[in-house]
Amino acid sequence: MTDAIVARETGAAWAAPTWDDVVRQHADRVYRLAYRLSGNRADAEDLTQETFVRVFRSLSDYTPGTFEGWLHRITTNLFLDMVRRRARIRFDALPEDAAERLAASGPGPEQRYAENHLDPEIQDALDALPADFRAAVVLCDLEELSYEEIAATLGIKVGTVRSRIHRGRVLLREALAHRAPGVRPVEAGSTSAEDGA
Amino acid sequence: MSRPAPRFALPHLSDEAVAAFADNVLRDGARYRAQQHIGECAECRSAVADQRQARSLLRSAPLPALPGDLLERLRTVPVSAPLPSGPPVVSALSADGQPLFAAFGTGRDTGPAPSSAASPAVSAPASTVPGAPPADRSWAHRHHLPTLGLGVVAAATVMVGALATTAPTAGGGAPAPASPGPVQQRTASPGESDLQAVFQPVVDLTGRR
Repeated sequence: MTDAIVARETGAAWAAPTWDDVVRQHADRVYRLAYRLSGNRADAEDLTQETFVRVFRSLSDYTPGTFEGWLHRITTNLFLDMVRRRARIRFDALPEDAAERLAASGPGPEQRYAENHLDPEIQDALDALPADFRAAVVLCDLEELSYEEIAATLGIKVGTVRSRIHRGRVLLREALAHRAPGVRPVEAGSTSAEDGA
Repeated sequence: MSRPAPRFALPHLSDEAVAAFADNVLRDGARYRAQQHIGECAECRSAVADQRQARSLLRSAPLPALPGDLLERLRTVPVSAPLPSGPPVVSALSADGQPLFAAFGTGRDTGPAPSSAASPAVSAPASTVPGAPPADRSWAHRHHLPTLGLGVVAAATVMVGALATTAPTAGGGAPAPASPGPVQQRTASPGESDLQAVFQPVVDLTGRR
């Protein structure tokens, strides 16, 4: 927590935060990340609550100065665990037509707008990304972590971060092409009229 | 890419370089080379623009807002969260290396005081019976996990305190009071809840299941 660092450097007395302080300061951000990753309110609430439960239970693992990074790591990894768990259940334990029955289990655009006044198209485009790409893009473009921080959060190399971000954004842009000005249609093997300009 | 770059010209940017350049994180030689190439290559220029466009589209969406009841549930995690097995003492280190302890207690007193009702500031665990699950649909409750019942205390507080001791106590018993280190006291202002920061050498849990 940067308060502690500021206090130490300025010589001011540092007051340890209460649990209340911790929640008030970080709950919004954790929830936003949880929602962007999971795409629905119920999962976002569960992820947020579980994140704070783990924070409370794991204070001994906390290194001062990296609190927000720690939160990002917990929330993101809980999300990825959730995705893997559901993928296993889907394939292992259910009858053959279950995948189709499960497919339409998320909230539709009307509900999503009603819940949060969100932009359903953008959330839908995010939801369509594979979870690993989604996590990289969300951490980069919404949480504004550096590539190195994202690599530490996801336990991957920086080069992998870059390529996942690149691919995730390409997929996003394709999904939202109708909203992006000046979108070129993708044609294999064509030469752009602008070449050499 | 649709056609190779002309001989002796700079090669097309890799996907990684396109993303990194779009995010302005390339430095020095890599950045210079990328800039030079983009000046001559419309494809790579477009690829960089596409990356930036995707980012700004994503950032243009309204932010999800924390539901109000969730905030309340988060605030009461210390009293409703499932306890891990093992010693009840939870510890951390402050920025200057002082050990911190999180504990339950009454805040102002040295021990729990019997009372007829739990603090009204703690909204989730409406029940005061130790071990009973909170009445609301907390995460723990919905997942059928045992929770810490608050028991009968005058006020529900979580104390995160700095001690002069250098190591947390082993075992689950309450340690002997240590000499106070950088002690501060902060009492709750009228608008705050009863969760307050109090520095106490005694670690105490009440109403443990």
